[in-house]
Amino acid sequence: MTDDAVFKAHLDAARTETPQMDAAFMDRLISDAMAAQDALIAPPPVAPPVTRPAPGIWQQIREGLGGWPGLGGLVAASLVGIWFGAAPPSAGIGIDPAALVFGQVETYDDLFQTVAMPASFAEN
Amino acid sequence: MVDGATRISGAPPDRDGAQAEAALLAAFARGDRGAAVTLTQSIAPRIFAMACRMLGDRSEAEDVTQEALLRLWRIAPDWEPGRAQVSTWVYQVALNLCRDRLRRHGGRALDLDAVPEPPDEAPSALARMAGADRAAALQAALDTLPERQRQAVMLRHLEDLANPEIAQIMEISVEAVESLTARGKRALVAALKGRRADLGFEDDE
Repeated sequence: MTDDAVFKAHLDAARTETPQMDAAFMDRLISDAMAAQDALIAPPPVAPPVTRPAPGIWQQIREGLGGWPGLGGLVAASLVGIWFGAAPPSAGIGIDPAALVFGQVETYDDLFQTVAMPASFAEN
Repeated sequence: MVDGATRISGAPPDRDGAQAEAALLAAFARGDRGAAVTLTQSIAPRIFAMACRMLGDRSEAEDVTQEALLRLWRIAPDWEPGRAQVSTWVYQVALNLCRDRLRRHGGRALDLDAVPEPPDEAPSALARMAGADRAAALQAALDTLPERQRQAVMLRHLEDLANPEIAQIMEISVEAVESLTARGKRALVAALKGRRADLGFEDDE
């Protein structure tokens, strides 16, 4: 018998003796396959809707005033008002608002006197 | 179309078989239960047999088979039909898993006596025992080979795979496969020579 023939006889014997799987193991593999399949074709989880908390009172006020830009404008205007009240500008514009107000009052007094004068003269 | 059950015996898949496997994998990815069953029944026994021979341990071979198939299922939706044969890919994964396990166990098969029980329908008790002894002798001789030679010889002569497919599985050239199988076969023939009388070869023919 040649070496090749002996080798072939061994291979034939080994093929006949091919390790066989248990039926239970095959069942387990098929279950694995189906579970993997379910995981593949399952729809992606739906994200829960984002619920916003109800707006608070300050948020409502802010939004009523036009949001942050509106609120910013309001604060800026208020600060300018306070600034003008505390330190009224005198130089640059040439008119002192306070003097203008008082000057106007004096002018009206003058006007009043001018109008009243003839009456007093008339009495005299 | 190749029926999955007909290839459990380990016949090498041909080109039609390759296309059938790719089509089955695509069907698997679409949720076809029949494809899951057919692919498992077609591929698992071959992978299990190879892992058993490589590792010499049924339980370890089951782990390798299970893991290799799970990896196949995971990549099923991204499988490119032209890139490789499905069963070749699984062999490659399984072989690498076997190598990792062998490395952890020091490079040798775990149990040299882990040869499966002979099937009941063997011709006669005596012939059956002779066959089992020859198979065991071959397995013992295989286990003495360097790892790469052992892999190449098993894939070529026991799994009946073609050299180009073995080259793909082992990630080496076809020439390297030829060299490994030739050296492996010479070593096996030499190892088995001294056991001819024990194994009943003098009485044959």
